[in-house]
Amino acid sequence: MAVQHTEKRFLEIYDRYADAIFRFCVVRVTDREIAKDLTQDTFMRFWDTLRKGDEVTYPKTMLYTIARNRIIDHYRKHKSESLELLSERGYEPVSKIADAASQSECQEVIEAIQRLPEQYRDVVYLRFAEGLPPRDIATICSEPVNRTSVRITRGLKELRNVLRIDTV
Amino acid sequence: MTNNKEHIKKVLKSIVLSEDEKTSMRARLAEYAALKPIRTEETERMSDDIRQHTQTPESRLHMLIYKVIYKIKTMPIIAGLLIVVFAGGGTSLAAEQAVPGDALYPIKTEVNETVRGALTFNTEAKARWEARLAERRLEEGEKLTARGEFSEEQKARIESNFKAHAERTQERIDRIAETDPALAAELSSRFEVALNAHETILAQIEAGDGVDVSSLKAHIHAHAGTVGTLRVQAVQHVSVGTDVDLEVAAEQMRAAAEKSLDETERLLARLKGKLDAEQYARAEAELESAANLFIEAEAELAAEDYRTAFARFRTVLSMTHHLSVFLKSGYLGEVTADERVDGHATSSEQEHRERPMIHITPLPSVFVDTDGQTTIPTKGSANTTSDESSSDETETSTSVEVETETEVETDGSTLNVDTETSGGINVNL
Repeated sequence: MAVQHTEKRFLEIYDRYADAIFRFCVVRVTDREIAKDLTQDTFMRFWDTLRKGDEVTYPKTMLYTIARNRIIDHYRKHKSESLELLSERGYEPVSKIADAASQSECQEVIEAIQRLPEQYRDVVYLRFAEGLPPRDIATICSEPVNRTSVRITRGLKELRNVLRIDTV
Repeated sequence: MTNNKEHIKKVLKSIVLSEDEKTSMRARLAEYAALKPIRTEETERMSDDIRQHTQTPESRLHMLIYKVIYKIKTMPIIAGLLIVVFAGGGTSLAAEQAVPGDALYPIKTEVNETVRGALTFNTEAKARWEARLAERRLEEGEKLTARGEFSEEQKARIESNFKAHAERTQERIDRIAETDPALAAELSSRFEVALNAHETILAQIEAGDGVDVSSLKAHIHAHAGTVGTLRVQAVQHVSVGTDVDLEVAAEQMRAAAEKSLDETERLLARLKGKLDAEQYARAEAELESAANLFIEAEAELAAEDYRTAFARFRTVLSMTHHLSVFLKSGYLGEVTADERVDGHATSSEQEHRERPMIHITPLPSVFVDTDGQTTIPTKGSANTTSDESSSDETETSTSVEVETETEVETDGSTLNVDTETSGGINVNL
């Protein structure tokens, strides 16, 4: 039945992409609980779209797009929290699997990304951590491809400087 | 800090949801999806002008419910409890009647049940609660079967939830059995007969309305078998204990039996007006047999015949709990002459569909084991109407009688009584 086929497909998509979306949210909001909230929100809205019956050929891209918008909305509502505030608060470690040394590395990278100028954060994460092609990143950020490519290049260069990585 | 790009990527990739986090979110999303199914062309046409993206007032409400539930679940327990107490009120109560597919169902499972679960503080309470949760899933299954609308998705969800609760119940009972076999015997007996009763009820409802629930029944049957094994082991463990242990066990079982007897008596009294006359008589007779057994068991206890007393008290517990599951199911009520027209459209056809009549079956004597003998429950009478079950009971009573003769053990006398009891029921039938 068409309905069940779609519900099944929805859950399959969840199984495949939940972690990736969650990761994206964690890196961008630096808080696991909020990230979980946003992830669930993202998938619920994704389902709302599926409901309408439109064909979704690239669920991954759509999920990232929805997630990115949720993150933007989140920041609009929580303007007051700065990065410094978050560091002081001592929130729980973002990765439950990594050992202590990797934890702090994780933290460093996340903070580095968050310190980048706003327009670089999303594109750098998506390019660096997830390896998405510039074309997809452009769709996710609703921007023309060439402008996105430029952002990626400059953003990665910034990141490289901050983290002192040899090749990024 | 390593400057290796690959290493950094790997570290980032380690940020994932835990197993638990992932599965609970998945469950919530599955429910959300079921709550808001695919639109058909019809609704599409109606809504195209009004609805732009995904933000309709309706979906806002649904999302809000889920968000609130999610927030309550992630708060410290006290805060969540306070919120439920002050804001939940009537909604929480109304949610208790919900089944999968209803808007308030998530409140039932994620709020009410979570809060109640949080209030269980020891292993015993947790075991009882987990068993109760398994039963709640079955009660929902019965409602949906009775309604005649029980989708595959809903069935799968109820089955898997039931399975999870049943397994956890078994685990807890298993752990309890290590230190307190008498308690384990009580819990496993109770759970076992409850499962048996639910399977019978489902079979009767299924027969009336034709919604196929063989898969769910199979699950119940399987778990009843496993719990039965637990029960047998626990009982054996008790029987080979020291006299002191036996005395304690008998006292414990007495307390449990008395409580169950009282509860069932009160339940029956409360339901008197709403029960079919025949059903009421049957229930009353069963209860009377249980009460008589209780008195005999007390005599045995006084006479320091602890093993027999233990077994007999356990029988009382089983009989009364089995009966109370039927009484609580809500399908024993008065059916007026108008409605009793086998599915033909009447003014109250709706009610007829929603409340099929089931018949109380007495506790199958396979659930009363002999001292030292292992009787794994076999269900010969699962899918029978009351007429057929009476002949099954006759057969069962016969074989039981034979066993009694060869058994010099005191539990033989328990069987004797059971035979009489079965015979008593037969007379009523």
